[in-house]
Amino acid sequence: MTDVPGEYDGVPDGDTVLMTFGRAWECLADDDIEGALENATRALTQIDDPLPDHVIEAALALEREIVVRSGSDPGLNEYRAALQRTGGLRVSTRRATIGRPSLASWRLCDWGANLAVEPERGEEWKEALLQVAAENGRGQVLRYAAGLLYAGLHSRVSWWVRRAATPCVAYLCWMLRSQVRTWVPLLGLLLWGGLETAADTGPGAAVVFVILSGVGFFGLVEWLRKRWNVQVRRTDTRP
Amino acid sequence: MGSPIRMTRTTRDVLETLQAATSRNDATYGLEICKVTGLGPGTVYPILTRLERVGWVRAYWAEDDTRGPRRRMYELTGEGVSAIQAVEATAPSARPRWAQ
Repeated sequence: MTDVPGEYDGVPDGDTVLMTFGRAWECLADDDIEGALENATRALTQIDDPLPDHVIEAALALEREIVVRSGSDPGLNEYRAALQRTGGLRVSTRRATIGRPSLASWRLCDWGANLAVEPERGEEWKEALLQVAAENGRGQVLRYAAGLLYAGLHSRVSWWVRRAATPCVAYLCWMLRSQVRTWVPLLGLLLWGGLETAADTGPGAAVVFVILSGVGFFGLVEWLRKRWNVQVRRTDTRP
Repeated sequence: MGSPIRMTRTTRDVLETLQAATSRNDATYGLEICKVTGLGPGTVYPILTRLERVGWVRAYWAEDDTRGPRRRMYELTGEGVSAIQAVEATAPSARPRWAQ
């Protein structure tokens, strides 16, 4: 166990209490829960002034960590009593918000779950949100809930995109399976573009346009065939 | 045909967490993956959905007698384990060839 330093034997203020909490966290890091509680309780029992807000936050964070690690400890009640005496009503108010997601975060989670295509997300995400709320502050819970809303939106949008893309991809694969089906429309397009360029700019520009576009189309066709694993029918590949 | 999953850094992080759970003969859940990888739920859940769709991951509800919503667990399937090994074996090095 780590002892409270001698300077706390006087009348500690809020900052001194914070320093003692630092000691208590060190004890916790060594799994010395009893030492952590003893240090923190001693500092609180020596202070008569009401605790400032940031000290209450630190005291409640320490309490939460001890509860998470040990569930309950004989020294926990004494620590809570000291905290209640110095923090009073503000401790009760803060404690009431711990472990319960705010209405806003609950709604965000609900909207996300309703947007998601997978029906099981509602229950899964509510369980996760409750756990996040039990371990974290309000801001973090809200951020987590916003992430859930984004996940729901992502699920819905990708489902729409998949639905819309599937027939298009199937049609393109059918085209790519045959050299004739692939190249007749593309050569037509090249010819039309070449003629337009020749009429507008001149034959030199038309030749450059046709060569560059031809190379580009060839690269695109080969890339799509590789990506979608499209095999060209053997009869089409014969010279 | 190539891998049905694009191996981005975030996908790799999620798969590593799932692999770690599998090596412990255990399953993991969405929030734990978020904590381990440091990724947000908006990144982790879409990846889990994709992995589940291609059959690399299996999801089930945790057996729990307590009241309230249940926890959904995720674990790698046999197909997932072999697919990851195949992807890792064929994946090109992150460094360019001249720098190797």
